[in-house]
Amino acid sequence: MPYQKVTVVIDGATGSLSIEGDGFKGSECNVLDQVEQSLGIITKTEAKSEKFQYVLPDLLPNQVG
Amino acid sequence: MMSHKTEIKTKLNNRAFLLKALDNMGFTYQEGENLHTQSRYGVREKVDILITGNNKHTYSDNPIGFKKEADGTYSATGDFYGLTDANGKSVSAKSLGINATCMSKEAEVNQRLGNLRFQMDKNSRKQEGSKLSFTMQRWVP
Repeated sequence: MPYQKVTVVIDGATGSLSIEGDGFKGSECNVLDQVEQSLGIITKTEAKSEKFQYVLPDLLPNQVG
Repeated sequence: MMSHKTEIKTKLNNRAFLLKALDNMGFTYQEGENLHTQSRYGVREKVDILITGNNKHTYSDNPIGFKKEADGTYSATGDFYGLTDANGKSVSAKSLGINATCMSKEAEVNQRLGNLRFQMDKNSRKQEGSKLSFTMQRWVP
């Protein structure tokens, strides 16, 4: 399970925001949009065995026995 | 009677995050169409967010607030003479503008990176001068 960390720096005098880390670096006004596009939203994942992640083929008559 | 009016323009244009910042700074406030600052020294000005303070003695006249400019950003304005924050530290237009900007942006970063399952490392949070820095982290399954 990879660990990701970003460092955020906000300058209250200028209103600038910069975010850096995990292969990402940005400081433009749309930096949060860039982070969302670059690092992405994690969708729901399921922790189940690989063999249960696929639809099993129907058994042929001669395999039923 | 002497006026102490000060005004500082910020780059904040998101009211919700500005209010969140004021909450985090320990200020109470009112929102409305017909709000005015009113200080002991005669400063009276129409504002969009009136800070009603955290100290009844110094904020009893509602001397400061935020007004929305034509470009959509907010300016801190009013008579800051003698005002202190919740920790007893002096409040100026500049310090309010800087802190409101930092904490407003912090709230926005927390919300949007929080949607990506990042969490703030609270031990990493530090403010030096006008700069606030902290780290956000997550485990990716």
